[in-house]
Amino acid sequence: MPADKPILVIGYGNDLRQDDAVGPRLAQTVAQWHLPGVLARAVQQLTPDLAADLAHAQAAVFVDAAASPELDAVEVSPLQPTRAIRGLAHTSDPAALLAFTRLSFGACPPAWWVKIPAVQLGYGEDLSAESQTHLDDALGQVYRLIGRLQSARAEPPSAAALPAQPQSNLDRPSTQDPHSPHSPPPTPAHTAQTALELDFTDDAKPKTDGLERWRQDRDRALAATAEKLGLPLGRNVEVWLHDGVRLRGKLELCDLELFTDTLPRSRIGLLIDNVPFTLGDLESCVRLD
Amino acid sequence: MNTPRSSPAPIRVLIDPVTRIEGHAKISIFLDDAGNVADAKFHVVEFRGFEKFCEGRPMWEMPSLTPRVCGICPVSHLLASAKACDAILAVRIPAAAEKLRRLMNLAQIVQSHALSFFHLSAPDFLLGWDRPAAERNLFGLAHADPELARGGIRLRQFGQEIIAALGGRKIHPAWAVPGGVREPLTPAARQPLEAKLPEALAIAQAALQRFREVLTQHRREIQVFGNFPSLFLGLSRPDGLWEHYDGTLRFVDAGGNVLADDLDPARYQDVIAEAVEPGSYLKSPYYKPLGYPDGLYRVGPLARLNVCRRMGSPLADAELDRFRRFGHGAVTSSFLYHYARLIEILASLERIRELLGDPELTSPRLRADAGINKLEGVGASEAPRGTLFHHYHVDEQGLLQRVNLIIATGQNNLAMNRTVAQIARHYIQGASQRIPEPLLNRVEAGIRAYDPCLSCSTHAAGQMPLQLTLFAPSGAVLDQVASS
Repeated sequence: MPADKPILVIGYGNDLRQDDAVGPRLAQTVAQWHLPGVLARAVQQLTPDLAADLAHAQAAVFVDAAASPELDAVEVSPLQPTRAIRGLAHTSDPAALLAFTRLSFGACPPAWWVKIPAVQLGYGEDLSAESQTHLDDALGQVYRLIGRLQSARAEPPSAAALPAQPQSNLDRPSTQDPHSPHSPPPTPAHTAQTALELDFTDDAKPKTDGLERWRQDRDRALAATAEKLGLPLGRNVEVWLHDGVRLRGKLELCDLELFTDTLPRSRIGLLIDNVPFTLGDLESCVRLD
Repeated sequence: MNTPRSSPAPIRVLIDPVTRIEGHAKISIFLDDAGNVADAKFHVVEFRGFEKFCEGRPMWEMPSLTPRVCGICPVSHLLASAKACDAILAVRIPAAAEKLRRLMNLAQIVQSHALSFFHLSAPDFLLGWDRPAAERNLFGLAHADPELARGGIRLRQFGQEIIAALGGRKIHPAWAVPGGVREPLTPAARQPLEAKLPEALAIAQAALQRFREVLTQHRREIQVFGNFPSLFLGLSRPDGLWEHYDGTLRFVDAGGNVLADDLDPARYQDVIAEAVEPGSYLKSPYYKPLGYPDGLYRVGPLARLNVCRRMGSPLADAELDRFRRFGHGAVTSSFLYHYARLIEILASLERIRELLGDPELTSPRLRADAGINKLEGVGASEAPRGTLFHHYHVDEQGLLQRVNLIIATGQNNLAMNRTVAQIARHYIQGASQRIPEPLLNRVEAGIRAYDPCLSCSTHAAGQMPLQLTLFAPSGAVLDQVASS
């Protein structure tokens, strides 16, 4: 991925409607991290102007509050441009904005959609206790996602570069955690790897050991996931999607799925040359090497 | 819905909701016994009540509170509010502060007009009035003419970047204050704006050329979309050049004759009264000497171009000459609001270029300090949609006793009603019980020419969908269509 293109985090929602503000709040916190190569935008709604920023982004992360009774935890899923084009009105639809970006600028970045459960949407500037907890969780997930995207930028994307599944609480920044994204932000001189190393708490060992151990964990997790899915991850393949699209290239897993064991199989995200699709879109997959 | 009737009777057509405008609205069209259009009403069905809930607040808060009226033109409310507070302080703000306020207002005009022209209205006249709504939108425009769509985005961004450079944020900046402004434009912020100006100018010129080309395909719309004689109101300055921030009030008629001039905005109530109509929260201001509803007048880009003598910058003046060929004295077709909007973008960019070169913009002398010296103040400035008045009464402590806001969309209310009636008369001719197919799109577009902002004018949140209903004189609904 080009090093000069930023990762764009867009948190959207109404900051006067309690939990609806959780998206902008997350974006504001990400902005305070001052991570190199990361731009965060806190906006009230998704407007067409954002297309110009999206067109020049390496990747986009949309963060929104979701008031759905079926959603009781933070959900992160790959997002594709919508196919049914109905216009951009006052409703905020990131898939439509991606489609508009692709139409206007010829391309749109790979994108993810972070949905944070919202329970109170009345007038007010305070988040509910539940939403605050979900915000902490979402910050951790976005933090790790940025780290992985930056790793992918530093190194050519490959199956070996996909992340492991660190599910322990130590890996989740929270407001109580002194190493959390809420704590004083790293200086701009900090690199992506430095940011990733903040996930490690074993201070007795040199940091390089931790990084190496993390890479090994990551490789093991990838191998386990590949076996579970029965897909030739990391190999050159030709896939046919149900809508007739054919893709050739190295098959990779959208790393987020490594964190969500409960995700339905059809929604597991895959990538070929940064073109995202889901396992549900897959009609056939033939290994070429 | 179609309710049959036994004998010819007046009918009311209701368009609800109106789309691609800012806020909620519906339109009723009333037919007479012969089935011809008798009248039309544009209803605004949401109420926000800013004027009321500001009462009791300290005057000093108003430049922070009132931009919350609208997410599209917060700068307009910010500036009109700050000017009303200046009047209560009885101060003349420092020259640098006025230049900075002017710069922000120009940026506001650029970004708001770009939204209206490129995002909301261009799909109609570039893609065709009768294309399905699912295609006649910003996506359709991006598909048909991606360069134009990109241009609109970049132009709007440019305006917003100036606002952000001055006020610290693109929306709801609390930067202008009673007596001046908080911050200057830093040299570091000015440089990237100067660098982007040539591209913005090129986009505006290309859009004007494109619009002139398509105008030949829309002769009927020029004739039918609100083409009637009326008065026009705008701010003017002694040299007759296009004005957007200060000056005095000027009314001109359809012949371009000056009807009233050099009126102090603080005395707007001498010439403007506000009527309230049942069925709408939108007030209907009118020109007092002609009474209601004969005192119908229009504000906004079309009015400002009719009120001024010249634009005062070379590119915009050359375009004004072409624009004026569409009128005899004044240009009277509301369809040409779009043309006027583009010319104002060009003029704003030329003035921004001039202002960015002014060393005074970085001056630290930005605010006049004073206490409450008058118990009443009026602030008037040109918002993108037209002349905006903020009128405050305060007590000795500066607490607001009474607030009156006269918004551009309200001032265009009577003209919008007349525009809808004119379009409906063209498409409903005799004994129709149904809404003809082309009517909905064109009535919507006729309203959209004014770029109404209902958030501002009713002081509305959420979706902005249009419902059109056809009513019999008995009040029975004969037909109803809605856009999604």
